[in-house]
Amino acid sequence: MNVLRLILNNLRRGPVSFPLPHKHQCTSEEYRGLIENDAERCIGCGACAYACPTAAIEVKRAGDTYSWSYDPGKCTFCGACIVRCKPATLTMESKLPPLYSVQGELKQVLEMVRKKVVRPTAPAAAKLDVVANATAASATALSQPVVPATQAENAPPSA
Amino acid sequence: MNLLERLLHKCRRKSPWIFHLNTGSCNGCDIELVTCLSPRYDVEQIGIHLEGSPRHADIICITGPVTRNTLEAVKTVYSQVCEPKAVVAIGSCPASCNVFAGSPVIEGPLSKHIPVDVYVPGCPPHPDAIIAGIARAAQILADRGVPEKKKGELQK
Amino acid sequence: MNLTGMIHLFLFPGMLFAIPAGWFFVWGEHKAVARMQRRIGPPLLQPFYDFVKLTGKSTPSRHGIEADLLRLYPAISVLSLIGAIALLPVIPDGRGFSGDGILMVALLELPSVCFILAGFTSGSIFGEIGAIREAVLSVANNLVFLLAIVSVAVTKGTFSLSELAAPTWNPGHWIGVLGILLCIPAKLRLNPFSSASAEQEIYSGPLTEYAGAALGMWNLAHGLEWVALTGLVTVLVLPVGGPWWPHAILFVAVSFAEVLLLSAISAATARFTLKRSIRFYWEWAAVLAVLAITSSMYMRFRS
Repeated sequence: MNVLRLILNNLRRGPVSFPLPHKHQCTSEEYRGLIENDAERCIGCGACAYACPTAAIEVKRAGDTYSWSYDPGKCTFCGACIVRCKPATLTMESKLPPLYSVQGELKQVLEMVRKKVVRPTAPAAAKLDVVANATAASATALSQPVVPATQAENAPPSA
Repeated sequence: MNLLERLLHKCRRKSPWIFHLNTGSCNGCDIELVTCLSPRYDVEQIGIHLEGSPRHADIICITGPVTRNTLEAVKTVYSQVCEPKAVVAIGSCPASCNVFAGSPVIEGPLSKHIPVDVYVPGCPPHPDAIIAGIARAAQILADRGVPEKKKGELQK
Repeated sequence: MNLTGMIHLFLFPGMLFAIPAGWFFVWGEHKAVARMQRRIGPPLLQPFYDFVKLTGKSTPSRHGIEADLLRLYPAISVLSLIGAIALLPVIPDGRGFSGDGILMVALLELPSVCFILAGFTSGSIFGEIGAIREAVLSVANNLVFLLAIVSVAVTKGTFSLSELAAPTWNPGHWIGVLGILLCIPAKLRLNPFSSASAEQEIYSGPLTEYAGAALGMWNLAHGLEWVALTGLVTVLVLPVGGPWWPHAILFVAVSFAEVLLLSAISAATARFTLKRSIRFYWEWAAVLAVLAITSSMYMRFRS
């Protein structure tokens, strides 16, 4: 009679179902959802594309511009791209990917331009050459070392 | 649309019977689909009923990348479902073969063989997403059954 | 056919009452089973939505006599069940004829025979297996069913349902009613005797190749079977006398109570194998049926 007692308990305790259409929060804090990229900080290294097992992320480089594209329809939500991302620009949101009707409809593409690197100014460079000259002069005083071609080129005319 | 057509449109939306077909899936999506029938989500509330025969069903829920062995089964089952019908591709495998793309025994995304109406992305998708996908397919199915010249009268 | 006969056939308890009552009882079973499993269950109009949707589907094309036969079987089932429900003396007013109990039993048997024939005619292996199982279960439970009906009839010496509707204190009558109640799960293909239309196990059994309006008719026949079988037990249990409307309301209420009881049994049990089902009917329930008929004969003929 165990099952009859179970049935009576079930009738007393009531249904556990979410009434549909539901209004509850489906996903929790740590749900593995959509990948988001920060376009300001992404450097286009392509480590995420290399790590992605399903080729959902693709990084294409052409000169100074590169594009990062992500197709949630192909994604398996494993998080390997986030593990590999060195500048930590990729994050996983706990959002459900939306339904779609046409293949490739959800693909998002980010176009970015490579940022220019600032080099040090000329006076600081001259000071460095003087230090190199001094070491080269002391070296020649001690023996006759083989001077590498580059250093010979860089050395000022008065050796 | 006259009264009978409106009634038929409403009843098609409220009674989507599904048939589940696994074309080589890892079973993750199948487990989530069966979870929808369990007491937690209970899709019987909105009229969804898992049928044993494709001839009884309106919506085919397909999981898995289409493998070489299951290709014939997919085409046969699609031809056995009676009009009006809709196809729901559950998971990322039927959409793009996921990690199995390029394998010699995978016959490619599902859309190469049969027309797909709704894709439910996820690996595996959340049961709420699956339920929303089936509900959208039921709406598409009901709209499909309306004759062409009366499609303008459908309210969204 | 006279006017009261027409009213009984088409209005109450005939077609216009029986079809919505069938849908109501099917909903009652699904909702009760759902609540017992801590689910919410379908909305009230769900069987009506299913029926209308099925009439709107296209059917696969078939050739030859098979196509007509397959469409005929559910039509015969529905018509015979409407006739059986119309024969029920819901308001016992002395109408009906002296053999209508036998006619009722024959009309209740016809849907089962059509189910078996449909399984064999459909040409699919799942249909064959389902039809074989239904045939075996039918042989098993008809022994008990017929003995129970005969024991109820022997208490009064007549097969007229209107006269049998007034229950007496004869124990044969009550054990006979219990025997009929025990046969209902097998006739309705409910757990634990649901081998014939085992869900998913043999796909859909004999109905695998059905689609569209014919399938809608089969589901309607299932609903009408609920009304007819629970109505038969109700009619044998309720006392007679008084105005017609409390009788009608009590008829529906007691039938619905039986629906809930059978749903509870179906939610609580698993599917028996064929061998175990036959053992149940031919060992335990047969003992009960033999007890019913001997006690009714003893009580009737001891004076």
